[in-house]
Amino acid sequence: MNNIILVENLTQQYGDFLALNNVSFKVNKGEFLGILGPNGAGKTTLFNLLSGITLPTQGKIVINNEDISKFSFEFKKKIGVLCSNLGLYNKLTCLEFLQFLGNMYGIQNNELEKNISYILDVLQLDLYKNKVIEKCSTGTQKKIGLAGALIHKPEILILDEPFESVDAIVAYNIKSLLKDFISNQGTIIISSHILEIVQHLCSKVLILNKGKILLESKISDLNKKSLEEYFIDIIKKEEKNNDK
Amino acid sequence: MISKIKAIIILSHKLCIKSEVREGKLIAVFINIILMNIMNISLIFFLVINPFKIHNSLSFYFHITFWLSILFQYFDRFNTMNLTYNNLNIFPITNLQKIILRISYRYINILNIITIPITLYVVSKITHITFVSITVWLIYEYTCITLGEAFNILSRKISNNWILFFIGLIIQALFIISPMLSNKSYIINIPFLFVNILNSDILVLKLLLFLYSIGITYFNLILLSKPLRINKINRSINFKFINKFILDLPFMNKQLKNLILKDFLIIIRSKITIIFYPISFIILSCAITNGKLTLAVSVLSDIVFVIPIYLGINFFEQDQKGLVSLLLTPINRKLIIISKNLVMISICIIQLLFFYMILIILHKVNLFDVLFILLYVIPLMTIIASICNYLSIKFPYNAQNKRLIIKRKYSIYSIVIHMLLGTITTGIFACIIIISKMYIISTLVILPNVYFFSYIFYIKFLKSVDDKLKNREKEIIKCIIF
Repeated sequence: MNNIILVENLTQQYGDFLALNNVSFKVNKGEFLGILGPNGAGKTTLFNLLSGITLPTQGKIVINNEDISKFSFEFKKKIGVLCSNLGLYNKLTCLEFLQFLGNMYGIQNNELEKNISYILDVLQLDLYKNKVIEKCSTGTQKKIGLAGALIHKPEILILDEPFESVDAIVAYNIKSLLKDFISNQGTIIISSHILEIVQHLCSKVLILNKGKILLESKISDLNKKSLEEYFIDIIKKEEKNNDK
Repeated sequence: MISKIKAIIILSHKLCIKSEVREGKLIAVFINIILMNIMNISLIFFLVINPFKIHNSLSFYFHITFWLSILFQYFDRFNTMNLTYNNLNIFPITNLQKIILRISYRYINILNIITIPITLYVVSKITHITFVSITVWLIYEYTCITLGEAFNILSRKISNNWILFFIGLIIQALFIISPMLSNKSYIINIPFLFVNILNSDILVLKLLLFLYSIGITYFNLILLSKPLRINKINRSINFKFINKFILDLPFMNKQLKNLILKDFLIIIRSKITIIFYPISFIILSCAITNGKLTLAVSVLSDIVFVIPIYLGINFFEQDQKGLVSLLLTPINRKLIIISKNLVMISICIIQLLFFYMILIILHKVNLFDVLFILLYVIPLMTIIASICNYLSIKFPYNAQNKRLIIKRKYSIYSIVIHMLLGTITTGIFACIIIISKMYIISTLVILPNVYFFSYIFYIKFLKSVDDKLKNREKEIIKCIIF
C-alpha cells in the first residue's frame, strides 16, 4: 500500500512542556485513522502539525512524498482541515465564507457553485447559508467548518474533533459524508472523544497520551474487545507505570 | 515582399478579427472600442481640468506629449492576439520585413483605425491643438515605435526595452526643452522637469496599465462572464518591464477581489468600529488642534494616529480564527497584505471625504485646499500603510476583548514605532505641501515625484514584508489564534 502520510520522530516542545515526544506513524491511501487520547494528550498539537498550521520542533511530516515544511501551494490544495477553533470568519455568512474559500483555492465559478450546493445539501446547511456565522449554533458552525474543509475536494481530510458539540442528526450527516469520502479513495485522520464513532468509522486507531503513542492498531485487530475497554486499560496501565 | 506582408496580414486578421466574428464576439469588439474611447477622452479631460490650472503653452505641450504618446501605446493593449515575434519567426522574412510587418500590423488594424481619429478629433476640439503640434507628436510617436520594434527584433531582453524607454524619454525631453529655451524663465526648471518626465512617465504607464487591467477584468468577468486568464491577455514586449513594476498585476486577480470583499465585509459588519472610529477621530482632531478644526492638521493627525490604530497596525487581528483558514489556502501572501491596505486606504478616504464635507459646510474651507490636501493624502497613506504592514507582522497581537474595542490591546512597540515614523513622514509631507503651495510650478514637479517615490517605497517594503510574513507565519497564527 502507498504511504500517503509519513510522520517521523515528531517532537513538539513549548518551553519546558513536551507536547509531543518522538511520534512516528504512517497512514495509507484510503485509510481512516482515528486518533484518541485524554485531554492534554497532544492531539490538537499533532493535528496542527499535520495540517501545516504550526512547525514541529523536531522530526518531519511527509504527505504525498512532499515534506510539508515546504508548504507548497500544491500541498495546500490536497488537504482539507477542520482545526480545533474551526477557522471561521464570524462576520461572514455561511455562503460568503464558502465562496471566499472556494475562490481562494482557485476553483472555477461553475464548479464552485456545484460544490457549494452539494455540501450545503449533504450537511443540511441550506437554511443557514445566509446567516452570519457568529449567530449560528456551535453544531452549525462545526458543519460550516467541515464544509470549508471539503470545498476544494481535497484528497486528505484532517479533522480535529468533528463530532464534538454536535447533535445526533448532525453527527449522522457528518458520518455519512465521511463514509462517502472514504469510498471515493480519500484518506481521513480524525480525533474524537466518542470512542463508539471511532470504532464504527475508522479502519485504524492510534492512542496518544502525554505526547507518546501508546497503541497503533487496526480496528480489525482488536480481538473483539471494545475500543473503550482497550482505551481505558491502556491509559490506566500508563498511569500506573508513571506512578511507579 | 509586399505580397508576403499582405499574406501575413490577411492571415493574422483571419486569426484575430475573423475568429472573434466566428465566435460571436462582435459585441465584444464594439465594447472594446467604446471602452478605449471613454478611457482616452476621460484622460484628456483630466489633462484639461487639472487641479493646477496651468494652461500655458509649456505645460500644455508637456502634458499632451506624454499623455498622448502613452495613450497610443495603450490602444495596442486591446488587441487580443497580437502578431508576436514567436509567430513571425515562423515565416521566412528578414528582420527589416519583420519590423515593417509589426508596425503595419499594430497600427493598421480595425481598432486603431476607428479609435485614433475619434480621439484626435476630441483632443482638437477640447484643447484647440494645432495641426503642427499633432504632426510633431506623431513624428515623435512613430520614432519611438520604430525604435521599439528595432530593439524587439534585435533581442527580447528587458534591458533593451529600458534603453528604448530612456531614448524615448530623451526624445520627449527634447521636444519639451525646445519651447522652454525660448522662454528664459523656464530654464531654471529643466533639471526638475527631467526628473518629472521620468517619474511621470513611469507613473502614468502604471496608471494606464491599472486602468487597462480594470477594463479587461470588467470586460472578461462581467461582459463575457468568463473567468479571467492572465496568460490570455496580450502583453507586448515593450511593456514587460512595466509588469515588473506593478506587482504582477494584482488588479487582475480574482483572489484579490475576494480578499478585498472579505476584508471590507468584516470591517463594515463590526458596527462598533464603524461608529467608534469617526467619533474618536473628531475628538482627537479637536484635541490636537485645540478645538479649532483646521483642515491639514486634522487630516494628518487622523492619518497618523487614528486610522492605523483601528485599521492598520495589527491587521491580522481582524481575521481572528479565520486567519487559519486563510493561511491554509494556496494564496500569494502579498495579495493578503495588498487587500488589507486597499481596504484600509479606501475606508480612510471615505471617512476623510465625509469629514471634508463637514469642514466645507461648517468652516467654509476652500474646495481647492481640500483637493490639494487629498492629492497628498494618498501617497502619505501609502507610506503609512507600508509602516503598518511591517508592524503588523513584526508585532502581531491578539485582541483580548472582542466586544469592547477601546480595550483592544496593541503591542506597545508597534504603537511607539508607528507614532515616531508616522510623525516624521507627516512632517516631511507637511514641508512638501508648504513648498508646493508656495510655488505652483513646484507642485507640477513635486507631486508626481511624491507619488512615484511613495509607490517605490511601498513596493520595496511590500517585498520585505512578504518575506518576513513567510518566516513568521506560524508565529503569527500562534499569537492570534492560540
